[in-house]
Amino acid sequence: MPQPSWFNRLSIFAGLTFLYLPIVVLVAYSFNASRLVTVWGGFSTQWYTSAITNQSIVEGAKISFLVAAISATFATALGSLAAIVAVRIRRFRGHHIFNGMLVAPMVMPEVVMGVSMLLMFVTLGIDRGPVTITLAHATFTMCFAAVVMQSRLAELDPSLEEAARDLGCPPFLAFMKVAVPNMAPAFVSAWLLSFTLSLDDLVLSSFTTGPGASTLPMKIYSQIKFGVTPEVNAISTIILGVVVFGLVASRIVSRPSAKSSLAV
Amino acid sequence: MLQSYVSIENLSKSFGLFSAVDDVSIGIGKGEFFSLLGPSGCGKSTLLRMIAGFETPTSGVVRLDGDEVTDVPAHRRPTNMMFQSYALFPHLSVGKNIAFGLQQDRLASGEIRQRVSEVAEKLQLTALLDRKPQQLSGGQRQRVALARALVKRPKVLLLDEPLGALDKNLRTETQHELVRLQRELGLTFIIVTHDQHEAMTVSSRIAIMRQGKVLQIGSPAEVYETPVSRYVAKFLGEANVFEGGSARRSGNELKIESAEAGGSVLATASDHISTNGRYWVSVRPERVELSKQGTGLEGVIEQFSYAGAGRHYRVRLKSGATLDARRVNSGAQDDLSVGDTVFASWMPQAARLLAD
Repeated sequence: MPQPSWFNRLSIFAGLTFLYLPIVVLVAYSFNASRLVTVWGGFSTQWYTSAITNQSIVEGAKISFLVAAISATFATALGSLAAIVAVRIRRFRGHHIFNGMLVAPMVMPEVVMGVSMLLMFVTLGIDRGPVTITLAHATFTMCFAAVVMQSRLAELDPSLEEAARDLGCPPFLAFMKVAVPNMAPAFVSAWLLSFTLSLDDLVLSSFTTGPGASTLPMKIYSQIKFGVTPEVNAISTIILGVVVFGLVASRIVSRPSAKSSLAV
Repeated sequence: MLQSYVSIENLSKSFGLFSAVDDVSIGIGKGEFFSLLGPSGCGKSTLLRMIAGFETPTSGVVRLDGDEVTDVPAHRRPTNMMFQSYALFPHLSVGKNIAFGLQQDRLASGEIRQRVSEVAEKLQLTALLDRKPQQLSGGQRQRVALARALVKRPKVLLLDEPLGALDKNLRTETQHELVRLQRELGLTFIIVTHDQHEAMTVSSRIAIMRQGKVLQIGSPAEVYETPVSRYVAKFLGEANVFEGGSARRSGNELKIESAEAGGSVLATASDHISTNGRYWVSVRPERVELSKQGTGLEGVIEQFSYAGAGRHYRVRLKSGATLDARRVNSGAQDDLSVGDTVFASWMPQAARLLAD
């Protein structure tokens, strides 16, 4: 392999620094003993203790995790159905529009989605709270789940199901017995992705929430208004850990035929 | 006429404006090893998939053992297919792959176990039953796919390019293996292939297809010796084909003037062909004699290739056309080399007249 030039080294260093230095600083200062955010006062885990004993924070975390888990489940189910239609039926009337609309929420301004959903809930007279946040998160993470499922489904040899049918399985059972088990890693991956997206969402949650239902990111945001405390750093580090774990796990399970590359 | 076991009657399949299979009728006898041979896109796979029940014909009828099955879905047909990709279930072990079809039939687990081990033994898979498909070699996967289809004891086994993924030596070996199995089990096999050697090696009869139509059906010897058209002659093996002109008959022999070949060539009089319209003379390279002196078409050896079992010569005739000739490698010293002037001739019965 050729050695990268000094310019290449410098640019990758500068790029990574720009992206990750703030996060490194955040994590480092979460272990700061000092109350002052910008002054290092020695190593301490006191802010973690204070964070996990803070009733309001724990309450927000509970809502966040619950919303994330339920909305991820809905998103994965709906996204899978959409992916099946997009990959398997493919050439139906309006399939271009369908595919476009499926991924459009990815680039749609979240504020627009938030306002439109708020209006819808108000019009329908639905009380806002954890339920409406869950519904909103499910709609916005569904497109990510659909994309993950779509790529897995497109890789799956369609003759697998034909083989099952040929051996005596009716079409629906063939799908359940052969396609579904082989898509299992993609289900997990889509769920984890939806979960992490929901967990750190602030905009959509703020628009669709009601009295008393504040997710963790909302709690943090409101605390920031009174100044950044090391406690916020600690909570953010915990969330960061959960998100990184989710993304890494999602990558590991979705890696195509990880086992077959080990066994020769 | 033998009663057909698999009967394909005026079968057509169109995808939009494209006609993949066009009014095909074939009768296949019980216990035959039948090949559908043609270049890619000739409709042979679509035809096979209609027999399996994966495609619905646009028109026409498929009968199996006397019963019409045209509208019977794949999972209720007494046929089984071996897929080109093998389509082994990656999440199941070899044993469970083979047992899959028997489980669909809700057989008792004792019988399933017995039949799986029976077929595994026949195909040397007994030691591999607990492995996953990803842990097998190409040849082993191919045998698992075959076992999975055979264990159901289908009336007809359909094979879609079953040996395409194997390397050449293994492929030859597997061809013999397939023939042996087919004889032993007495099953009817229908194989789709684009490989003419494979079709000739394994089949009792071959249907040659092109652009959705069947051009000729016959035993390997029939289609090789008496092709019905220039296309069939050239597709199945190699052939030197020259357009014929005026012909003179003496007894059963024809002396044909061919401007394309640049001289007169010999053939036997044929009842099927009139020499009044356009027609062609076809002769196989291995029937062409080359000599340094004598009579025949004069030309110069332009290319020579040593192919082990034979020697191949490409001769540029005086007319500008090329002619291929082949000599068996008997071990004797070769007296011909590139640049030599030679005369090409053949026995009248070696040539075949073609109307198209």
